[in-house]
Amino acid sequence: MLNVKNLSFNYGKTRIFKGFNLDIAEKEVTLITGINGVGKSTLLRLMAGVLQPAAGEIRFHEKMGDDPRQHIGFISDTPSLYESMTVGSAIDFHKSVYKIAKFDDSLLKRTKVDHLRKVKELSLGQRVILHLNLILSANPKLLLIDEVIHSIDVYLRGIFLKELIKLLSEKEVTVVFVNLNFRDIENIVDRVILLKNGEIAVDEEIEALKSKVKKITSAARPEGLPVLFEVDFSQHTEFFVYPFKEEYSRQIEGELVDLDLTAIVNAFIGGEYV
Amino acid sequence: MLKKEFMDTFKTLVQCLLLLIILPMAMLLDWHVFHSRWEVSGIWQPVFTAVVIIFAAYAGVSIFQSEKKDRAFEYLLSLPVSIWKIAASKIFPRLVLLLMLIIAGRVFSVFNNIVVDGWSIVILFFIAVFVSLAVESVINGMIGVLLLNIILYYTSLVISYITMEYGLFGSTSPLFLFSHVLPVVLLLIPLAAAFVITMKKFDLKPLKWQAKPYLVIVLPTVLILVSFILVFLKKYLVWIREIG
Repeated sequence: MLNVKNLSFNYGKTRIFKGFNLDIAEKEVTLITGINGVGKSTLLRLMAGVLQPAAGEIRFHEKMGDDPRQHIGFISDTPSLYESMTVGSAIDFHKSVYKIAKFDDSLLKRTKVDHLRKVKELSLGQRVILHLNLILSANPKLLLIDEVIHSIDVYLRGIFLKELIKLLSEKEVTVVFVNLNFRDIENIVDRVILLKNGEIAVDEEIEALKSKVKKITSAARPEGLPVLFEVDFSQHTEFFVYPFKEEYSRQIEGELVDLDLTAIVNAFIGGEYV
Repeated sequence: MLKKEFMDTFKTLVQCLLLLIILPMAMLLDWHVFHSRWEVSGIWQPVFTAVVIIFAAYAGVSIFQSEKKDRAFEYLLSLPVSIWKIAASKIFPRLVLLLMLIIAGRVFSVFNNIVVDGWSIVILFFIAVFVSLAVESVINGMIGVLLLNIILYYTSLVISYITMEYGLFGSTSPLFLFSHVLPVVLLLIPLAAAFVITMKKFDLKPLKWQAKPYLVIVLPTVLILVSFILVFLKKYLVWIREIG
């Protein structure tokens, strides 16, 4: 669906990416994660076209047309809309730009968003739902969602995820998430990418990643195993091992635990702060 | 998008036209305090001229004001609309309403002096548009536009003086227009070039990081024009005193 080639980007004198490469396949649901400031949101913005790379390029599949933004739905970590517009005006504006004939506002009705209210009067969650409704109305082929899910309340988060799952099941959509909270999206993610120092440190299919990252609970450090991160407790220590191989099972003394995506990413990120 | 920009521009125009309230207030002040028997036309012309000038400068400098105020740059740049179409949809409504004001000014014979006329106001508008990307706030922008217009005005005067003093061509010669057009060209071309170069790569990065073309192209031009004025300023002032 998209191909990032030799991408370089700086914020002033701070280098974020240099010679960065990434391919994302069609209909793939990719999660991009990493510590704060590593460039996750920047990468998404570069894909969305709101930032211009200093060098390199981002190529899209030919079905994305001459202007890929026509088929991209992008929600930033801080929803950006014309705040002084009313909800109704914002919808009309969006419809006119994307040439949408009919706008389905059932999502807004469910969240009790009044069309006469100004966007700036809405809560953060309501703005996110409004923005989601707007981008879904344009039938995007590529969805870019940046860390917005966990900043809204549980009810609206449920609605957001329901719409997303519905979209994934009904249409051929490629999704790229940037997220730090994974419980809500673990079941829909295909691939996990961990960024570190402007490069890809980990790039695995989710099931492969789960089989390669294990937690060993033991009093003593396991000998000869690639320990990513460890957490000390009074009675024992938890060792997070990556990449875990089956032959390691024979040599460990302690409890071997499978991890969910949250724990896996926490281990990678925790290892960077040590 | 055009509809939104027309609405925004119309609101700006209404705000500027509210300044016309000075007119009845000035008349009331005269009746009750000064008793100078001011005539309406005597106050109306300068006030209306000032309103048109303020609208031209404000409308030009504030073309991206709604995006700055509403924090909507990210949304705007994510839309499938080219940056040139965005610029055109912002400039067109402002220019249309400005031209309507200028036509109204001509119909009511408001622009009675050679300094301020329709052309100079349109030039002021475009200077304001081209400056808009280089400034963070509207106030700074309008100060910048005012200073650039003063530089433009004095450059034009100095070139007129040089052409007449050195007998290059007389004040009735069609080439005398050269003394008014040349400074406009000298200032507008670098400003337009900086604007186009900045717009070509315009994105979400802070404006100050994107405004390098203004430092590289416009600043040297302005320094050259100011130096030119300063070199001939003394002779020009002496000349004015002699012919005065």
